[in-house]
Amino acid sequence: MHEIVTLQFGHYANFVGTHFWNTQEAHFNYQPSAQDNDATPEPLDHDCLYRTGITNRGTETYTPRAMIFDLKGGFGSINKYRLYESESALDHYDLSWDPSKMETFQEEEYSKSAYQKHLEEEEMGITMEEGEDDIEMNEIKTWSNFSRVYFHPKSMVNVSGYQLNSEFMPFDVFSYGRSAFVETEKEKESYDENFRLFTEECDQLQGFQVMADILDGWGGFATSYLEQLREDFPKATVVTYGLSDNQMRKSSTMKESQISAVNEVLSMTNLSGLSSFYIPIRAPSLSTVDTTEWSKYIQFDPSSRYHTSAIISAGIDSALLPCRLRHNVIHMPDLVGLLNWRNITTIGTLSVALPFPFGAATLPRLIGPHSPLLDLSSWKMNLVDKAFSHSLVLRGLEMNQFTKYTTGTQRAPNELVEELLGTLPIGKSLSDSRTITALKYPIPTSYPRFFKGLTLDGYLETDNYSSNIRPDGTSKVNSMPTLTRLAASSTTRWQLQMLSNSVKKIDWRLLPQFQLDGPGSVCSEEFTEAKEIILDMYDIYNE
Amino acid sequence: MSGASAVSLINPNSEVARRGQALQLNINGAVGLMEVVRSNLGPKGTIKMLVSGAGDIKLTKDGKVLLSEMQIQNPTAAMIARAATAQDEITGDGTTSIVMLVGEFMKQADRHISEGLHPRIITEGFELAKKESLLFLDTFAVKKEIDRELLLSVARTSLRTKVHRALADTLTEAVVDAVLTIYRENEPIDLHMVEIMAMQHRSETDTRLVRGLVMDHGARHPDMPKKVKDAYVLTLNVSLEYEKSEINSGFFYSSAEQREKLVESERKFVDEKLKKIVDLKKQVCGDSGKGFVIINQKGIDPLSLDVLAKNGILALRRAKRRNMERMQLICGGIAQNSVDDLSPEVLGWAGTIYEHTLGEEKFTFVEDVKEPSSATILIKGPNPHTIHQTKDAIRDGLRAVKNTLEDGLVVPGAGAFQVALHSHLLKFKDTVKGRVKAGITSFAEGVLVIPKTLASNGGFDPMDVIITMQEEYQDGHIVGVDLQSGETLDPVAEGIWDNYRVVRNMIQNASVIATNFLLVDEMMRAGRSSLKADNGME
Repeated sequence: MHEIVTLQFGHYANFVGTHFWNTQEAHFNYQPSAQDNDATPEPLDHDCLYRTGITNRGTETYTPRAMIFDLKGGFGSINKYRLYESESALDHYDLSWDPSKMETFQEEEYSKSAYQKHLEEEEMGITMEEGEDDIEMNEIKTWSNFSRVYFHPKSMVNVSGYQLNSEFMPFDVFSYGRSAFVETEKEKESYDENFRLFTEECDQLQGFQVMADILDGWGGFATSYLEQLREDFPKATVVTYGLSDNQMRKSSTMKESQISAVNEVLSMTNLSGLSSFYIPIRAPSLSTVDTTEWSKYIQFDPSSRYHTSAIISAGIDSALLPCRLRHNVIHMPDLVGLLNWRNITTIGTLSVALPFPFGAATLPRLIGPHSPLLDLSSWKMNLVDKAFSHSLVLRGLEMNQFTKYTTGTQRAPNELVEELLGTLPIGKSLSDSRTITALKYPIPTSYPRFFKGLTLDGYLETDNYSSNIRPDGTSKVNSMPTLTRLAASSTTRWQLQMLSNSVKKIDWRLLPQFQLDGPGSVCSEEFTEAKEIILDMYDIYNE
Repeated sequence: MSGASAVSLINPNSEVARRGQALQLNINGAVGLMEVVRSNLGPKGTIKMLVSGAGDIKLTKDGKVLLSEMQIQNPTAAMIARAATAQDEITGDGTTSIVMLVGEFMKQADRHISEGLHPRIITEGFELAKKESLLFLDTFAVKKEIDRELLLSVARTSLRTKVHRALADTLTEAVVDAVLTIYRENEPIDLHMVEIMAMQHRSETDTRLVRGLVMDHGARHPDMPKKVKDAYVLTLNVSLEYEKSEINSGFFYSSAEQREKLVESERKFVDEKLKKIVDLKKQVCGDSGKGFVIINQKGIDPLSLDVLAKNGILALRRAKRRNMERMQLICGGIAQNSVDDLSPEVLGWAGTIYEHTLGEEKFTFVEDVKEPSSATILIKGPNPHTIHQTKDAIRDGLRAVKNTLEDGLVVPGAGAFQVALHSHLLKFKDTVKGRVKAGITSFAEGVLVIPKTLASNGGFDPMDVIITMQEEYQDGHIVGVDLQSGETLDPVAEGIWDNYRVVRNMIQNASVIATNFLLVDEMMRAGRSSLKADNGME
């Protein structure tokens, strides 16, 4: 078993993570098309991401190998013991206490979305009517409102001392995160009591997959956590996604934007130093998506965390898909070794085509002048980059679609595939890995209904590629073909330059919030060093 | 231009509360917080059940837990809560008392301030009273020979304020004996050397002290022994897994054959380490039938486990970092960071090592050891919230015992100190001239809130109790309140002792916090929400 342990740090990271785990659950039920003769019933090894357990009552469980960190209030209505304690906790109430001496403080119950209520009903055996499982976007306040997955009670850790969205004590500074780590570990010992148990049971750990918010205190918290992890796993492969969403980017004052820029610089330098491969990811916005071909087929709200995290999650799900395949698997150390073969290009980029625009009936070929890929990391559009390395994952390509066109000709189906990939407007790379699988990206009911002009299988409704008409309405889609590209490429230099400019003029003395009395404080030397690291990295990618 | 108008100039959205308003806000916040924790105080305090918005339950009587779990909106209250919980960090107890004292000090001060006295006069009085109180505490505290009996009394006093009586009595012996196990005269006490392990199982009163180590994991190979007697113990921090280093990945091998070779040489490296361990086992155990157990902080992969199992070795992987140290204290031997210097001298010994399975959780017990200097408190409890509460209580109990050993002094409890201090401060007041007297009086009246609340939580009339106590104190007795009868008792005879440092910190901090808030004469808020809306201030 080649286990991958996932760590999620922060509220937005948990939005992304929720979509990610919902997708995994959809994978359990997903049957590849019957026409595909090569495919085994289960193309993915779910044991990589999931563990088998048993409750004290003897019920078997199958839960993610994941650690989920959030602030108080961030978990919404998820009761972390619900899987391992089916009876109401109060049934056990010990009568040694004098009941007249008991006061109850009941917090206001977290509201459950209609979707959550439907899930609960479904669990009790009430089946959903078609359409009943639609999610109303304005009902999604937090990630638990659309989570379909049961987690192990040890998976969820509340960070001490801060509340979600608190104005009085916001969790918005890198240093606060580092100090909150110290406090949380003092109180809860989550590293020893929770995280350690997930790693102890791994026989052949492939590595860690980390999702972390980087514009606020979470970057600091994740940094401290990974520092501790590195002491026990000096050689382990750690792939980290540094996430920033549009809400976090929207700073109202100059001060706030400075703090957030410093957070980003400190998070990026620290986390990339602790990771084997670090991929910065920004939530997509309308202007960036408009430049991709698939903007026609998707209509999303850039201010909705629920929407943007879904797009990011599609990229993340496929990025490490090669590490979870039953056949032709590429394990994390190999994949990362291939991507970061020089050992100095630790910062990568992730792009996704959602959907990869295939017509249902015709020969899959690229359409239009635009790249189908949306660059989630650097936002340099339509730029043919110079890649040091990349790994392409094309999903939903069924060979028989090609066989149709190759029968009677001299050409083999994979030549056509090569030709197809060759037309992609992306740079050539020295180190190149390709994974082509019939396994499409599954769309669970929890996924936003923001697609249009697509068939149930995620193919384009019309094969009239040249058409400039944008389709109307929304399509119900069960799965779709996608393409992702994980790369170490020259576009990263733009991002590093932008980042470097954003903090160049900052007067450190005017940001006292980074300097704390206790642990976690960031001194001016540390900030200066971080700025230098950014410039050094810029040089590497500028070659 | 005043500070306030300057602030509104640069930020028109800000709100400013001035002088009387600001003070009133602070007093309301402090008193409000006091009302929340009031019913907690003492062994007769109520237990609070906190039900989170997600339905999670937390039962607590501990002020610190209560304050950190509640969502406090009032800024003054939140700051007092922070300051008071910081006390818990230092001494492990006294959070509720500090909140009570701060609230009461401010309430008392308010009386004088509303009559026109400047807050600064009051706080000057507080400062004098605080200094005098600390001096008085040193004369009132009792220097006693510290024996197990005394430690049991202190621990029981602290624990009975946190959990129900039956549980408190179960835990008392466990925490005292745990600390005594790790205590070495004239050396600082590291409470981390007491492991606290929880099993969700049976009742909390089955919680017990294990003179040895309990670990939350077990062997990961079906052929390894589940129980080992008379065992050599090797404590390791050595990776026994085949790890791909980055250099041999993807790009660097051109053929499958080359790759195989690299894998093989990595594997060989691990095998050599295993051989050294197995050789040592053969050397010390021979055919004697003695056991051999490895506790490793790093990983052990299935192939390595297989080799060890074939040689009859029980091996645990990914042990807690602190257990490396604890193992040495329990079994002897020296933890090894490499297998290069293995010799019989580095091995520890344990009489019995066995595994216990509970659902998906495995536990390994290391017991029957010679003169251990570390121990485990094994918590049992039917559900997570009971375990939580027990764990919180144990941590506080351990701190109380440690404090006593380090202080060498204890303070008679059950409100005796506060009654004595009150009377002492009133006498002290007469030696001071001027209006600062008002501050001293406020302080003196303020400290009585502790015995008053103890009494009222016990269901007795606080005034009656206080008057009886004061009368008996005038007659020269040290008196506390008896919460069974509402009469007085002698805390010294009953063995009700408080920690010296807890009481000292309590006076110190409560006075400082109250002073700070009394001296605030302007409050401003630049954010979006309103000061008024939050605090009901008009």
